[in-house]
Formats: sequence, C-alpha cells, structure tokens
Amino acid sequence: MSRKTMASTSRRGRGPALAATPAVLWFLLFMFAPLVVLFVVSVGVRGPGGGYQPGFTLANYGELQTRLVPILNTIEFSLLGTVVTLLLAYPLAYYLAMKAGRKKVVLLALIIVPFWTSMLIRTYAWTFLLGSKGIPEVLSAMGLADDVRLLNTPFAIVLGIVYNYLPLMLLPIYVSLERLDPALRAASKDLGAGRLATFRQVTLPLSAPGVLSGCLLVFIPVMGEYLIPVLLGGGRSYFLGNALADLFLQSRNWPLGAALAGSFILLMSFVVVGYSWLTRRLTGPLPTEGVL
Amino acid sequence: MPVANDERVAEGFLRVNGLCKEYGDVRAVSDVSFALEPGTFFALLGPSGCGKTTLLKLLAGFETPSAGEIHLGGDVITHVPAFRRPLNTVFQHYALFPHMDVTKNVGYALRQQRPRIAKSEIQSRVDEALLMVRLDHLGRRRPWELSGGQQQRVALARALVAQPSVLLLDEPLSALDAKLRVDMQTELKSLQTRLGISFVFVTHDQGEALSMADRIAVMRAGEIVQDSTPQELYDLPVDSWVAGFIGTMNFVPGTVTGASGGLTQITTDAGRFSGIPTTSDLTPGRSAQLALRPERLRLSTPGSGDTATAECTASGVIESFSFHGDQVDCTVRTRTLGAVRVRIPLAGAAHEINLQPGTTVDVGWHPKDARIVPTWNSASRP
Repeated sequence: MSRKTMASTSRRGRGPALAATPAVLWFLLFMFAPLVVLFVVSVGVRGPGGGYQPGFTLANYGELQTRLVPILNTIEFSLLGTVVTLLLAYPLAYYLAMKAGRKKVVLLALIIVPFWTSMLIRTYAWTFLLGSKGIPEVLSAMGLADDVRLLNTPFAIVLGIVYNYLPLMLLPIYVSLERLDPALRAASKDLGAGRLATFRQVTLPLSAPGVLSGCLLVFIPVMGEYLIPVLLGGGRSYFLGNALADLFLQSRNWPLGAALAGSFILLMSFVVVGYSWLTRRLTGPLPTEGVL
Repeated sequence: MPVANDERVAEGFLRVNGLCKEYGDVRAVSDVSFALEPGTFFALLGPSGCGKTTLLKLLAGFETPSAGEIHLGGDVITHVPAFRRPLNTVFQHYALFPHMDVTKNVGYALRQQRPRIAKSEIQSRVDEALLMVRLDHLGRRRPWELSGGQQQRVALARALVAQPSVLLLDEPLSALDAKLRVDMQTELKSLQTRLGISFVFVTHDQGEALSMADRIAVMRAGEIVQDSTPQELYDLPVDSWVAGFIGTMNFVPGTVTGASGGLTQITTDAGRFSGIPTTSDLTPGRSAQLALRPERLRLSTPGSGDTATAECTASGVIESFSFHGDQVDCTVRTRTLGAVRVRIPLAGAAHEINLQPGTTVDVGWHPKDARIVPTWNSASRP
C-alpha cells in the first residue's frame, strides 16, 4: 500500500470521529459529568455542618427507605394524574382530529395559548379558585354544599396536574389521530365493524403510539413536580421534588439527596426504556413513513 | 316505494333508482339509475370529478343519498349502515390495517360477524382466500412489507373473504405500474368470472374499462351518459364527448342535413357525406360531428386505386408518424378535413407507402365505418 493511500485511509477513519466531537463533548459535559458528580456525592458523607465530605459508603442508599413516603406519593400521584389526563385528553383529541372541521385551528389555539403564561402564575391562580373564597363559597352561596374543602387536598393536586399537563398529552394523541387514514376506518366499517368495534380494533391501536408518548410526556415531568404539591397540596402530600429540595436546602444532607436523586433518575430511565420497548411492540418495526 | 320482498329477485341483484347526492349546491351524483344482473362486471367510467367515486360511496354506505333508492336482492338498503351491507370494497390505496399482518387483515370481516365464527373456520376461510389470490405463503407479513401488487391482492382477499354479493372496487389498479396493471386486469376478470358475483369497478382509464367490463356506464357531471357494452360504447358513442373520451377519434364538425333508415347525412366544410350510421335520432339542422376512428381509415398513394372500396377520400400530406411495432400512427394534414390521425397495420398494404413526413397520400373511408354524433359542449347541457 502506498503512503498516499495510507494517509487518506487514516484521514477517512478519523473523519467521522472528528465530526461527532461536538455532540460527544456536549454529552460528556452536560449528561455524563453531572451524573458522575451525583454518584460521587451520593457515596460520600454529610459534613458536620451539612453539605458534602468525601468518602465512600453505601449507607445513603440504605437510608433511602426512610424516604419511602415521598417516593410512593410521587409514583401514586404521577400515575393517577397521567391516567386522568389521558381520559380527558383522548376524547378531546378525537373530537379535534375527527369532528371539529374548520373550528380545529381555533380550538387548538385556545388550548395552547394559555400555556404561554408562566406555570407558576397559572397554578397560583388556582389557589384562589379552590380556596375558601373561591368555588367553595360559590357552592355554599348556591346552597349546594357547605364546608367544601378543595385547596390543599389530593384532589387539588390531581387537578393541578391535569390542568398543567393536558396539552402535553393532547398533542401527541391528536397528531396520531390526525395522521390516521380515514380510509382505514371506512374499510373497518365496510368489513362489518360498527362504530365501537372500529374504534377498539382500528382507531385505538393505531393511536396507541400517540397515547404512549403523551403518557411519557406527562408522567416524567410530574414525577419531578415541585410547584403543584406546594401550592395546591399545601405541602401535605410530599413529592420527591419537595423531598429533594428539603434534603439539599433545609437539612443539607447532600449525600442522601444525591442518592435519592440518583435512584430517581435510574427509575426514570427504566420508564423510558419500557416506553420504547412498548412502542416497538405495539407498532412493529415502523414503516419509514406514510403507512401509519 | 314499498319494500320489495319479491322471492324471484336474485340475491346479488343490484338496482339503483334515481340516486342523487348533493353537497350544498353541487350535485355530485344526479339521478343515476341502473340494474345489475348477478355476475356482471360493471365499470363506472369517467374523468375525475364526474361523481363515480361518490356513487361508489353511496353503494358502500359511506355516504347517504339525497334522493333515490338502492336495492340489493329483495331488500332496500338505501339507509342500511355500511357495516351491515353485504357489499365489500377494495379501496384505491388498499387501506390495509398497518397494525395487523396479512392473515389478520384478511380475517377482519369474519371476526366481526355475530354469532361468532369459530377460530378454526376463520383460519381455513382466510387460507382459502389467500390461496385464491396466490398469497398463501405471505400470511405473516405486515402490509408495508409487501409490494404494491401483493397489497392489492391482500385487499382483494380481505374484501372477498366474507363472500359479498357485490364487490365494489375504487380505482384499484391506479397505484400499480403499467405491466402489473395489465396482469391484474386479467386476474381480476377471471376471478370475477369464477366467483360469479357482480364487480362494480370505478376507473378513469377507458382502456381498463374496455378490456374488463361486461358493461360500462360512462359518467359526466354526476350523470350516466351512456350505459352499454364495451363494443357498443366504442362503436356507437352517444355524443362527441363520449366518442372523444373512449379511444381516439377524428372529428369533423358539421350540421345534420337529412336522415333515413338509421343512416344520416351530414354537411361539413369538406362536403356532404351521407349513409352514415348514428346513435341517436338526429333532426336535420342539429349541430353534429362526423366521427372517424383512426383504425377505420386507409392510406393510399394518390391514383393507385387502393382506395377503390372506400367511398370517401381526402388527400393530404403526412405530417408526422410514430411506430408502434405492429402498427403505425400517422397524422395527415388534409385540405378538407384538417389534421387526421390514421392508424394502419404494418402488415399489408401499408408498407408500400412511403411513410415519411411530406409524402402526399389519400385518406379514405367507407361511410359505414364513420359515425355521426351530436356535438356536446358544456354549454349544451340541459
């Protein structure tokens, strides 16, 4: 082999690696490095005045069981919130994609525009609506019910979740229904399936990828939710986010906080892996485009 | 109209009576009537927007007619929902369910039936249907893993598995390439003959309709303008629009100047021609076209006497020609008839003529081979 070809071969070999460098650097700097820091802190020990002291112990992971309540709370509310959001979003998305006709654009805008306002302000507004001077007073004035408590209840938390995350659920489902070829539903009816049977056997399975994306888009951020339990739950239902804030800022137990955060990230990655596995199972190896 | 419960009406007898469909001010289907004996290959032929697909949707039950009735066998099915009609459809782009494999797609109609059909019977009927379209080895494939022709056959098997009394086909061959389309035409036709049920076949391709159908209904602006056998449609088109839509036709405009015994006389700029067959009663004075099929015309060298049998001639100069293997298409510029397209077989006398542009030739035809058709233009609609 001549020197010339050797040189060109090696240059060609290095080419892709060089081209990938920014992405690799980005990944190392913003994904991998923080995770390493998190792990290092999680196996350290709490300093005498709080914070972090180098060390190596797995005790922090053993201590996680003392934080079981916020963990279970978070999972419970995230699941409940996701399911309620799905049950509300699916019919709405179905209506928008199939029945709304020309009103579609206006309705979609009405759903999306409010979310350009800060989430803090919108959630804060609910504290007035749900507070004793809000809906409960309206209800008692109408003589319908006395002494209704809405704010600082589990109900308020679920309401906050549904209200804040509805578009994230709605849009992927809407897109999957919108892309559904109307001829498929016509074919189903032509072959003897009524409306319900068509929905069950054609519309629902073909919108399942949208449903899954929507659930993931809602479930993941709700798991890390901090604001809603504080503002609408009154701190009674403690979420992981709140537990982490306390560990880092109040009791300054950084290693335990890091262990909790690390386990939380691990749990989330399992959810994401499960999501992609389920999506692939539901849709098969996806055709490149146009078929779904 | 009372519900017909006539026992004599055959099971697959489809009858449509005064069917109309309006979208706002637009009449997509206008007063369409026809009756199909079971086992008819019926083509609905027309340009896009003529209402043929809407008519098919009315038959399938995807649209509700504004007026008129649809009878199938002894029943009125005008307002029966699509999923209860014993008709099945092959969709233009097949509409195969992407989340089901071929077997599941084909068995879909059987799985909907109540009381439920046993799994083993569904399986055997699906196998049978797949065998019928020669896809028995591909049952486990997903639709997108199949070629266009294979998808087409899955769609056919899926529509036929429940043994519909009439099969509706919405331009099913339009997405296939030319060679495959010809193969599928033959296959569809033989399948229809074997099953003995009626096929209602929507197409804008006149060649497809002519080669497959027993009967062709030509549609224009929501109406059926001619409903006849392919031979009759080609031979005796009802007006100049149909004549131009089916095959190639040379037109010479003129006025009807007389008629006797089904033969008509027309006066054109090129002179007066008489003894020419026509499709409809044409009163003298009516604007009409002398219509000449390219393959009915003959070419001869002037003065050679080859056009002796032809009673009418026009001399001209070959303007262009194209070679098609077994035949040659020439455009001849004549003084009296304008540009005339002539199709001549390569075998026979044709090769004796110098088929080069610029050659002077005589175009000849027999009056019996010409037709007189009433002039149609969009303004002449009633």
